[in-house]
Amino acid sequence: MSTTAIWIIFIAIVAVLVIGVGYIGNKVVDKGADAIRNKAVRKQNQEPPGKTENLADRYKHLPKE
Amino acid sequence: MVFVAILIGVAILAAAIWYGLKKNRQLVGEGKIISRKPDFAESAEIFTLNVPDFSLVTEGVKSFNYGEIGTDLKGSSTEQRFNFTASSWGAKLFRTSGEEEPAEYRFEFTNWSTRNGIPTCALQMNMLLTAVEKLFLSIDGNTQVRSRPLELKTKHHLF
Repeated sequence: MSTTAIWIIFIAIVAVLVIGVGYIGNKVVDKGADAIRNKAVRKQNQEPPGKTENLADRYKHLPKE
Repeated sequence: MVFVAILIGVAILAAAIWYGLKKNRQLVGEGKIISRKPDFAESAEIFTLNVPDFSLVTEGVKSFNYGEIGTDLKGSSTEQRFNFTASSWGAKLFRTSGEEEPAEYRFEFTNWSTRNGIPTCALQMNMLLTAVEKLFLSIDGNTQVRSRPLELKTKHHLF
């Protein structure tokens, strides 16, 4: 096998490893981050709903149409 | 030569940022969007208002400028359920209360793509939410709203 072919195979293997490990690593991080966040969200949503806001207050800075 | 290329790159980046800020200011000035938190998509908005006739909500939703917002509308006016579908994000608006007054509607984004934690179509998403809020305010100026955080599931693409 020529040196060029060996280099091409080597680069291809490294590329697959980088992409694959990166993808799996991102998946692990995402799952962990989502689990932590969603646990806090579920706890917050179980509590009685807080005070409501007057929707018009979000637009009070705008000139009346 | 490299220095010139870097300068050109920085100039292009600065121009893109300036254009984005200008577009944002323009849309705020036109009342099509309002300033929101960066993570506004991660909360559902629950609106409570008096609706004398449900067709007001249906006709109002149908009259949104979907060309500018970049979504399609599907849904049921009798069930008061509306689904908004864009290429990289989606949202839904539906009535959660029964026949009783006041009516309660829930709006939430169902999916969106992000880059560096920011929704890639934040402007269009903001436009849709602003249109919904303005519709409810036009029906009942005393509309009340509360936010509820959404449970999220993050997906990463291979590339």
